[in-house]
Amino acid sequence: MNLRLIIKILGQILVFASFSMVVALPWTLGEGEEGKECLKAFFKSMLVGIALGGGLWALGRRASREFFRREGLATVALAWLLIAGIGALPFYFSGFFPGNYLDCYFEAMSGFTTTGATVLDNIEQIPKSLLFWRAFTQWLGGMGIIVLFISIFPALGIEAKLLYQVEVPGIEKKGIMPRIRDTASILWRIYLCFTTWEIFLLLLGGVSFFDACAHTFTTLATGGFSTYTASISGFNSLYVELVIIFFMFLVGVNFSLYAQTFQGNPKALWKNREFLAYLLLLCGAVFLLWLSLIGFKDHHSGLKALREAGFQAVSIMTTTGYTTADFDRWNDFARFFLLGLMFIGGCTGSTGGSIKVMRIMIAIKTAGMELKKFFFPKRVISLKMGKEPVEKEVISLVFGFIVLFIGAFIISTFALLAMGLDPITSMSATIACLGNIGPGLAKVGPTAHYFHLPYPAKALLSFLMVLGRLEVYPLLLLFLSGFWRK
Amino acid sequence: MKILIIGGGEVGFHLARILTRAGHRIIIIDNSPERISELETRLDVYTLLGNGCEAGVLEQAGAFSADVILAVTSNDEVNLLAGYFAKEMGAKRAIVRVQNISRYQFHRGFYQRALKYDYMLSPRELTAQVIIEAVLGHQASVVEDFAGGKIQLRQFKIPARLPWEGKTLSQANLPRDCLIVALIKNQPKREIIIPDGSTMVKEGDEVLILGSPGRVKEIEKTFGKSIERARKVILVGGGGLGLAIAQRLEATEIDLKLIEENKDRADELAEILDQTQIINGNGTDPMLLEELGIKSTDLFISACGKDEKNLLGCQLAKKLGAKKVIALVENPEYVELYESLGIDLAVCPRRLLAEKIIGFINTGVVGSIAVIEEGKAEVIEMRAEEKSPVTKAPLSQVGFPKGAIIGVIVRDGQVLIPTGKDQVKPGDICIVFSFLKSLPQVQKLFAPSNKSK
Repeated sequence: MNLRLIIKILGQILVFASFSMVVALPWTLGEGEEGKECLKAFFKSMLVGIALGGGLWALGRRASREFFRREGLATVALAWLLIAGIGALPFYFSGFFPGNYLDCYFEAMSGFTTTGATVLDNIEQIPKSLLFWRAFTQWLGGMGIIVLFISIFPALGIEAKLLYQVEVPGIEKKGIMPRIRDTASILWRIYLCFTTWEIFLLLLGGVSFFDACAHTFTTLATGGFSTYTASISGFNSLYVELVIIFFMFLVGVNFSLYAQTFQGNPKALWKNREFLAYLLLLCGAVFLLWLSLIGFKDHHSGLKALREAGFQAVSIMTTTGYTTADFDRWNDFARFFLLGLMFIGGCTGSTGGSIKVMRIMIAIKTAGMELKKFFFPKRVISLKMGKEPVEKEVISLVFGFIVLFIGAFIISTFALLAMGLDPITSMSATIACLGNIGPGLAKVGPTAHYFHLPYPAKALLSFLMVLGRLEVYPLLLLFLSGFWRK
Repeated sequence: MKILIIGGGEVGFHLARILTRAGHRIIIIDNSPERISELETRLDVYTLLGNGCEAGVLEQAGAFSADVILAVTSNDEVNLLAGYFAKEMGAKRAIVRVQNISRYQFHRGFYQRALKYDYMLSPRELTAQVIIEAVLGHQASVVEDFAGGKIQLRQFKIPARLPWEGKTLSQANLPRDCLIVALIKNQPKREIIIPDGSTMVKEGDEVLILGSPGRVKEIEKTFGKSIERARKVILVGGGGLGLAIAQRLEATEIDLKLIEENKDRADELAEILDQTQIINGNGTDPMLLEELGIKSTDLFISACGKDEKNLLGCQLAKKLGAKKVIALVENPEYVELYESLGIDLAVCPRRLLAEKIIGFINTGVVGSIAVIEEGKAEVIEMRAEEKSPVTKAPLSQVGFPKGAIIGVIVRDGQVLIPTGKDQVKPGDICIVFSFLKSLPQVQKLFAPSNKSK
């Protein structure tokens, strides 16, 4: 294990993350005393971050160049744990946040991992600059802060590729360009392009510039932080809801398909099996949810039911976590149906979290294949996605992932139960954090927040967020004793 | 630069690693899924599974927009075809690797035109060159065979007390069938000139002589003392590389003993080689080495196909008293290790190939058969075709550039030293000395005038 190089890269990433706080500084102006407080908090945080990062950088300056997969895994896992630590500092130093540093850490981790679970019960009280930073952490985390780091700093070679492979979610870890730096920069350019587009559309709908930016950041990252306690229902505008539904849907798709589309292969999107399945699942989910809302008479108007069912289904399945209705007060079928959707998530290579459509497809197809083989054992079947065969290693990785994911869900649910929480809260809080969704049911429902949970629970949930964001393996490896051995 | 590498073996891997560090964008095609996943985790490159000489695969890899194609699989045909297809698709330059360049030597110009590659390289040839340079020291830095061995190019330093020292070349009475194509002056400053009859030769100058091997050797003898006392060399391994080295050294005064383990191969070698002593035996046998006089051997070269045998043999030879030992290494990663184990020079064919290619990519100099004075001038073999402009008139009238000279014409197997009155005929092979700046003009003269133009 080349610890020196890991420390050096960690230092560089931390310095980079600390510098990114600059974006929040303009919003401290014109806020009077509160603004000054925040400005001080930001400067203090940047100072601490740069000192810490710079220190690590200096410590690892004479690192040798050996960098293998295990170094990549360790770097990314540690970087995510540390970045949230730095990102939480402005919240902590400003004094506007309730509770202690762990609450701020929970909030920052929820930001970077694009979860959207919050400890705030009254968001409107928090100064703009802090809210902006809170939204911006999601934007950074959505496409991946390390992927951004790679595309900006050209000094990394194979290190960049190994880091990229760990941070990018999904199964296909191959880049789309010869150099991973180019792949990273294409992904970020698409992301930036969507960002300007959504800000523009929201501004057209009469949303203020601040709200447009903040909501764009959190939509595109499938994050779900809003600047209103009431989330998107705070706007009370069908137009805004439609724009946000559209973009939530858009970023739930594999970004490399967009890259191919821009490179002159527009059919790539419609030929992609995962995309079609994703589309079908979403439509089906909206329809079922709508039927249940009408059937159980939660709403008298069919149109209003459709509007709410549509928004909630898309928001939950893409793991965004915005709300326009208190779905915890819906009928039990709808509540648990949404809970089920939380396990699905977006496509691979999207900004969405959770298990992902592709893995579920592979798992179901494998099960079907086994069924066919069961009554005719001599039959040989190759698992295919469209016309591409799926390799055996990929299938076992998918099953490994699902087992670990469900395992983490079960263990954490029991842990929360042991801390005295009720079953529905335990289950929904776990999957809402593990799948990077945000709101759950009961005590962590759409109108509630996570502040009242005991501290061990918040620590556990923060850990689950990174576990989900980095797709389980890298983080678990940190706890494997053999992983650190020389 | 966008560089497409066909073949992700050791050469391809080594090249890709160096080139990615230099910031180039690399795409590697390989037909083994295991190799692809290995490359994928070890290099920052884009990989593609498939056969490098399939048009579909090349297209998918973006051959049409590639700056350089490096076809470096271990299969000549795949490399040549891949290079050809890629060039047809629009790749700017193609470099192909071949096992044994002498197979192509005789029709090199033809192959190059027909298959459109820019540079043909063979690891074996490069290795032989490096080893020969090590054997000969600084004496004759260039030894090249042309026209399938009928013509040899040599570079000599003029020693003191040469019979024709201080005379002009026309007074020097050189044999008719050889020619001094270039003179490298060391005083007052180092420069290359194309000599004519009135050029004076001084001590310390270097001359490039083209002629039949026998003649060139005769001239070498007239230089007498310029050659140090015959050096004793033992070479282990009579494979393709060993034979290539021995053939080049046959023309010199070096006392070469070639050890070959396989009896049949040893017989074969004895048929091909005249001056070299062929010994059928084991190169790691201490008794045999002592019997061959390893104590007084200046240079021991182990160039058989097995790395461990080369290493062992060299260490043994060193212990038994050989002054200098050279070992062949197949694995590029081991070169430094060998040198730390007391081997004076570890030569790795794949590494040499990679270095040559990197040099080509960085400088863009097109390869030639013999590069003189670090690329200021070249000696190239050109074949005159039907309708080549050079065949239209006697040499003095075809507009041959000043910076170039036809040294030798090989016509129907006969060697001819041309004068201005002679005319090149289609099918002739011409050995041309040319300064780099005159090279395009020379190539134009020999190009078959295209009907479409």
